[in-house]
Amino acid sequence: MIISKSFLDAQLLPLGRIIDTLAQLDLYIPTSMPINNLRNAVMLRFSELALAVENPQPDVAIQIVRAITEHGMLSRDEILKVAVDASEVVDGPTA
Amino acid sequence: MVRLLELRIRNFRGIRDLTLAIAGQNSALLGPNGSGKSSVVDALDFLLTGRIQRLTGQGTGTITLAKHGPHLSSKAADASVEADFQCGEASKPVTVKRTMDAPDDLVTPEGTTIPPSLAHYCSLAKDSGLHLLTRRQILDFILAEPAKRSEQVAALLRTEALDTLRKELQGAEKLAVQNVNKLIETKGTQSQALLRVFRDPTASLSEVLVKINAHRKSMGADSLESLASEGVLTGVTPLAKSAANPLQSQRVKSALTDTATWAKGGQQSWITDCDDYLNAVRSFRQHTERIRTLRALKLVESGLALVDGNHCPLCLKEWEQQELADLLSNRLEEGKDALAEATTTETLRKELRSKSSAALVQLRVLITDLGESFALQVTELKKLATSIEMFIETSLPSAVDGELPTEAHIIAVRNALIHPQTWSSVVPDLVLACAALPDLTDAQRAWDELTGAKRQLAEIESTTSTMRKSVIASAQLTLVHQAFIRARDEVLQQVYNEISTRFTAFYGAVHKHDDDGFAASLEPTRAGLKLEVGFHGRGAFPPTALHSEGHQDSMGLCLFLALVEHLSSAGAGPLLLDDVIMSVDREHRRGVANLLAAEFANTQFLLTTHDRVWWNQLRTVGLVFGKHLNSFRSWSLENGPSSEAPPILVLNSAKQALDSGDVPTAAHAIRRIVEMIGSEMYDSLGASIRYRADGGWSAGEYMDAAIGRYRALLKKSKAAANSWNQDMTMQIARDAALVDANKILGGERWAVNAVVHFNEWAELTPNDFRPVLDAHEVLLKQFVCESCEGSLYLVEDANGESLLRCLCGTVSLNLVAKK
Repeated sequence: MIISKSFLDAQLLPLGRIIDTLAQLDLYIPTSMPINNLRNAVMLRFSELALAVENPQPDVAIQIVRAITEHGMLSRDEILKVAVDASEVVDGPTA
Repeated sequence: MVRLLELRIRNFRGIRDLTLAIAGQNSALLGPNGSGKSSVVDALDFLLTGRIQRLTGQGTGTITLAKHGPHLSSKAADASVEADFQCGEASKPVTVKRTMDAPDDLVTPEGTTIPPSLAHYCSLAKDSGLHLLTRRQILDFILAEPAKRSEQVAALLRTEALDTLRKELQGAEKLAVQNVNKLIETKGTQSQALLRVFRDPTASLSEVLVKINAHRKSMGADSLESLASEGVLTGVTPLAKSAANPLQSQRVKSALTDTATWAKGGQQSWITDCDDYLNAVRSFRQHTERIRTLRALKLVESGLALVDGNHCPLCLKEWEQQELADLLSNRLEEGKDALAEATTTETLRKELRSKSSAALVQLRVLITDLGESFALQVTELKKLATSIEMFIETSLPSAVDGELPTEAHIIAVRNALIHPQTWSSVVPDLVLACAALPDLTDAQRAWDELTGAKRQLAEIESTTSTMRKSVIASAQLTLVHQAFIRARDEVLQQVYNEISTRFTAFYGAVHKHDDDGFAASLEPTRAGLKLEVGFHGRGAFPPTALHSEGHQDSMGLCLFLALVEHLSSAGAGPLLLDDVIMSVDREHRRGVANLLAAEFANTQFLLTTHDRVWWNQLRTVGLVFGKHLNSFRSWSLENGPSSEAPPILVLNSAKQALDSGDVPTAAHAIRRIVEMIGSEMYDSLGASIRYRADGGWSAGEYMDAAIGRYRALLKKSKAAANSWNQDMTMQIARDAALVDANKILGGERWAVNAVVHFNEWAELTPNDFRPVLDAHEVLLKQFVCESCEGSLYLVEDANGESLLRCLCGTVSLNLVAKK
């Protein structure tokens, strides 16, 4: 995990909270990430809420957030692909 | 941090040639309407952004930068703005320039580059307009409808990235649902294909299992308990030789039979379906009002349920309740009619799509199973399949959502179905070839049907697996989308709460004496950003409801400052405030000046105003140093603005004029100084002068009133000091100096009045006039602090006059006596 100083400076949020959340997501923050406090604050809260999603497959939500954070922005097709790829089918009749 | 050192404007808007030396400090520019102040603002705006905000927006449709940017008689290439900036990371000042013929290019001298901090500041200016506040923007903040205000604030907060992500998440959620529906459709078609393997299109899945087990038994294998591709051929001994010709396969025969049906008549029916759909779309498209109504149908339904009181639940505009309810009811009825027509169109679309999917499945069977043995035919079949695949993959929009495909799209689909070679030659030839082949033996048929079933079941299983993943993904995307909306709303509300708090504090500082207990709230709504403010403890109201225009201007300024402060960009670069206190009365203008000085010490302000008193107050409160107070007296077409120097420079120019024997120029300079300083003294010391309807006060009257008031305050301060048994040295010294200066001036009073009022300067020599000039210099120095050069001013609180002081505190004289 690499977190740039400019990213942390731009957050104006508690450092511990950022580290905890990013660590759980195993996020890579590109140093070229544009500084936008509001967006970063929303993404941080978004990550926290995604981590807290309670359902049989919480990893799907995390994968989506991780992909968006890593790339800065994804198209709807790319988001859907991440979601489908991350979903796991439980055993059962298929026909 | 970026600071402006010098601004050079050439042939730009109303300016011919102007250089403003600012030296990285705050600067204030005074001038009457039409004197060229705003051209200076426009120039800096252009330099930073490549555009002029004033020339954009509503009502500026025919105005262009190239035509209206340069000075009237100048070419675009000669119109330029150049500036020197000091940037935090650069040791030397940086020069940048932009010319009107290349507004997109911010250029630097060869060998230099734009430092990141300046690039960031320019980016903020261009993307969110954070560098400039005009009165027009104040109106957008305060007077605008919530939606317009929301746009304005969103632009400043730069929420566009959030909105883009929200739309993509919403789009992905919708796409996931469409994807699941498509897979359900595909699975249905594949199931039909499985039944055709056994030539029994009405069989159930359990009956298919029975048929498979019958074939397995005939080939010596055990029965299966459930349908799964993996077990279909388990334990079955493969025939040494399967069907010698793929055309003998029952799966191929079945697919060929269906495809031949299309070739004979179905194709035409298919094309007719396309035409019907095309006509329905054309008919629907003619009623643009219906489409609009349909798109808003859900909104109207929700809105009608929310009508409760005399205002629109969406935009909060006032309405008669019944009138609004009737309007929405009528629109709902219109929407229902439109929905019925749209549903008919949608049915045609679904039928077309269903037929296409079914045909595609059969074509794929033929392409797969015929293989290399029929390479030429397969090539033709593939062309047709590709055309249909393109149609299916490119979803036609649904009319029920108020969306219609283009006619070109439908016609493209129609044309894709016309493959004469395939329909008239390839398929009939294959049918004939198939008929010429002998029937298969029972064992061959069983083997072929089992292998066909295995293949078809594998496809169904694959689709089912993808479908299950898609269902999970769809549910997850809904949760993720909801989480994002919640995160955005939480953060935005927190931001708005913080901004509201600061906005309230800023406004409270300016209006602490007349709007006590003021509080503001910003609340994001679906319709925009709702702003409500308190009014003397009587509840919360829209800012335009009860507050005066002047109070609204204060609110706009304070809200902008709160936003700028929140974005931590107050120190990013110079902040231009263009005549923003126009409607604020004089009592509160000093409050605004104090606010800027106290709360934005790290911000470089460039201010324009037409109010001389406020212009001087900016110096009094320490926001602007005297040498950075610039003023324009007038403007001419040929020369642009003509500048007026600050008092200290005017005094110097008077001395120079006198040194060169020019008494008239020195006399006029004195008159201007008296007016400039005198009017400020009245305001800052609370002096008064006998009212004259014609406004014709003499210089003597001005000065007598100011001196009298100052002496009265010194006397009051002496009394207060005496009551507290405190030292009175300063009061006594300042009073004595004032008396002495006034005596000198009194001795020259005849000359003052002669030169400044009666044009008798012609009778005076420079030696006659020099004592007059010296007397004014001595006297004027009595009204300023010798340390900070700021004017003395009176501080009043709820109990009345409390302190006479200067900005730096060197002069601080108590006026309240011990009780």
